[in-house]
Amino acid sequence: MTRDSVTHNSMTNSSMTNDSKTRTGDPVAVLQGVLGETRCSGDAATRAMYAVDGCRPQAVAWPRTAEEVGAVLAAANAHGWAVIPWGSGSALAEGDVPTRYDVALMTTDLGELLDEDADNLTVTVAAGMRAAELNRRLRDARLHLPLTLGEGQGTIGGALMADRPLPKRLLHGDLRDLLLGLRVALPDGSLVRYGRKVIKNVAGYDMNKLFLGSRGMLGVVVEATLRVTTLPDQEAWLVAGYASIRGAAQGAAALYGSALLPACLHILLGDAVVAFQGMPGADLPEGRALLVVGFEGRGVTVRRQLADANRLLLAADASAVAELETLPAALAAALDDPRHAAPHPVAALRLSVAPTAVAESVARAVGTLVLPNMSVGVAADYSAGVVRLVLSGEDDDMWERLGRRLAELRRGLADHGGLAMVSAAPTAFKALAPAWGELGGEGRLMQRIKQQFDPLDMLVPGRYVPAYRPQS
Amino acid sequence: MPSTKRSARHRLIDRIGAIVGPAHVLHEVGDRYVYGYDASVYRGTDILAVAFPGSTSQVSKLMRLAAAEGLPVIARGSGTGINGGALPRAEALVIECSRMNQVLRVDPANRLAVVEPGVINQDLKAHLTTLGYGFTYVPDPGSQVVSTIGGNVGNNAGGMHCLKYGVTANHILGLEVVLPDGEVVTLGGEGGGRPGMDLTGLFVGSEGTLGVVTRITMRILPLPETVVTQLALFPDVAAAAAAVSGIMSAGIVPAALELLDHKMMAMVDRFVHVGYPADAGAALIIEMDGLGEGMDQELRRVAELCHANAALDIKTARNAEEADRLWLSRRAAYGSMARVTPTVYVIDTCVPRNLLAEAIGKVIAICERRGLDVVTVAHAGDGNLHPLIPFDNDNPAEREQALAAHHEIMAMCVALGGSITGEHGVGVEKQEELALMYNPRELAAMFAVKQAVDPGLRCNPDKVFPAEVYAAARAAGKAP
Repeated sequence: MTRDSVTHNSMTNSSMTNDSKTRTGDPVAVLQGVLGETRCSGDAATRAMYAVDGCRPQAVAWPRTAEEVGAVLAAANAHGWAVIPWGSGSALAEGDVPTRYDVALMTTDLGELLDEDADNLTVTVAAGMRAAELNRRLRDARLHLPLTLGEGQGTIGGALMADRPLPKRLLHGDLRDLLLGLRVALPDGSLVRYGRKVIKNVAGYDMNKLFLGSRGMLGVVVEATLRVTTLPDQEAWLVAGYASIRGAAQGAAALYGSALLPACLHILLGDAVVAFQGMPGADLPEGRALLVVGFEGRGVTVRRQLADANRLLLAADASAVAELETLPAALAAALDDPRHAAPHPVAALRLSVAPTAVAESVARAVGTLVLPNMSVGVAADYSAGVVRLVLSGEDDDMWERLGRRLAELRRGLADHGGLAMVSAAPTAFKALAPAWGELGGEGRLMQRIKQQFDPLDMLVPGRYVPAYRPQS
Repeated sequence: MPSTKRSARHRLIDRIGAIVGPAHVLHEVGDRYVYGYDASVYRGTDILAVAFPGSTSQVSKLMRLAAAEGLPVIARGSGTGINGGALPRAEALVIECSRMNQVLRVDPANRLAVVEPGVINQDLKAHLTTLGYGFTYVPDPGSQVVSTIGGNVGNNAGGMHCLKYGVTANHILGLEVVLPDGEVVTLGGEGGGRPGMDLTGLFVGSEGTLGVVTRITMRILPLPETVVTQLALFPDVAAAAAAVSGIMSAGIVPAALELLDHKMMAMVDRFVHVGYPADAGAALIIEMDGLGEGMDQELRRVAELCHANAALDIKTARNAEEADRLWLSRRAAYGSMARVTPTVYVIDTCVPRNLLAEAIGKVIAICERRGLDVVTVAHAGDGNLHPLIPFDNDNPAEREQALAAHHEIMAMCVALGGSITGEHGVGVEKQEELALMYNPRELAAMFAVKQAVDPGLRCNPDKVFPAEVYAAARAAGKAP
């Protein structure tokens, strides 16, 4: 399996290089006919705004309904246009440089809360609804979708397509545990629904799982039914300071192995700690690494856990432990995305490793990737085994060196089943290193499934799985 | 059977024996006959042979042989499925995974275990207990004392504790799978945030139609600090179901919330003598778990919500023996039925939780119209109901009524926004009913997954999807 034909194209800003198929029609004119004149734009400034990896679409379309999303895809299918679906765009930096890109399909105007069911603890929501807006609307009913710690600006559809571990996964699960149903526009424009408002359903394949994390490769999610939680009586946080990432990981391990029921165990390091030192309003402990532990539930349960956890963390060599009633917004934002705490972010990576390998993997990644004149910020979700690194700074010919070093890091992690993905980087770097690396048989299966769903390779072509020869 | 065919058949069996060892192949007529059964009310056809591989490499070789010979392949665990999922439908090679029964790794620090597919669910739990880690693997289908992890994965098995902890899919982190062409692939892994489609989740519950699972990485969880089991009695099913909704909406998530209707209570009481009062119309078995602190508050709140919904009585088990006795009364449901009827038709369907009482009422009406008796147990917190219909499978008239009632119940639950199966899968029983939930385009996209992974349609052939889906693929020349 080679990716070179996909990733190594030298892209220019507006013209696509890999135009092997016949594309017909003017996307702007056709889609204005489908959606109305104001719902599709081809002006230069708009196209530049929705560029992906420097590639500009010919048209940006804002459908308002699921049916209109289907109509855009049907038109694209008929004319051979390549489509990249957009939510807020916050996760679109992950992926290789697109091989073709004609239409930016905006889902942000699909923003309805379609069903709110407090009896069943479910919501059905259009894909373009922003997580923060959804939670604002659920607050009166004391319901909550635990997607982010801070104000989540991303959309529900985007969250499903990226499938990041949820910050309070230890109590509420990940998206694969919360997602009950989907409505999807397939590449030919037809609309399909899978799943139901039931929490147990084994009727045929679990298509929710197939679309989860698929990044728009198979279709455009237009609607989702999700389990929600009830807002807890009380929330509390412990922030423990450590001299090193190893110490912080030991603290996390002590809690992970205990009978306590924390909602999360997050570790911050480097730039992600520096940003908060001396932050007014929050007296955070000293230390190169911070362990952030969240608890929620009834008051008496939270109080007992705070006391026990405090003891366990100090016994596990924490320099100090601070107790907070709420998580400061800036800290929450950094935990959601460490780019928020980086001085001059130039690239972001994500590692997937076993929890007990978190400390060693961070040390290895920092040692391998951080060149002179660069700094790094790290946010790691211990229980998920997910480490996010943000590199800041500049260095001469850094991309070439980083490309080689990433390959070295990937080989090292692979020995223990770990992976390293590039979440964001300039195109100069993307040309040197595929975003997801080598996924072996699992990657080939994804490719085979994509081929069945999208034989013309019109959805996010070239960005995630290796190219196949589209059927003529 | 013509002699040339017989010899071709024996040559094939010899090649299977060369892979797994001659002692690990069954192919005599009696052996083939018994593998034509599972726990469903259906029967399969004759098979070629049953192979018992001892390793992934042997499974891969069997799959390569089957691919070269165009043989259908059916993976089988303990055969406890109730929908005919393990029934052979052609002259298939059955791959029975009972020899691959090792717990390969227990890693409490990472909260995971790695096992082979032939490990029995209950044996894994016992293994974890014996090692004294204080951890457990949560999914607990009613068949847990005999069913294998491989079968649980194939059917995405549920159980009593899904309400708080989720079904099998929620606990599976990674799989090693042998694809139909014999390629061994690893899906998922120990870390989260892996890129791309959740293929691990997709393979769980695919009922053996995409390949054979040979290794499973699953999440294990620390045993809860405190567990309290309660029995709440209600005048009728509607009151019990309303209490269930009340508890859940209050933000309380019990570990289990099991419902027994009046007839079910009477039936199990005759068998295990729990002492259910005759005047109660429904019982809820409620299990709460978590930290000791706050448990009293939580139990008081549950009691309030039960009383607010007309509970007649609430009892709390005072010790482990009393709790076990309550649980026995639930787990003995099928056994108590088997004492009074030749066949128990276990029906599995799921509706939105707040429609449970309505669904049960409609099930009773459907069965009454057809002259059938019905008793009901339900994983009430999940909206997952199991009406049990006693009948005689050898009496064609009764069988016809039972099957017709089943179909009507499926249609009714789908109309309520529910699913034709909550935790047992489609198999052969519900193939046609799948079309009640999904239109032809939806079925076609679902089937596209099958075609991508098993283009020869040889893995557990002609199951799960309606017959017309297979026929359409073949008519379009997209499948052999």
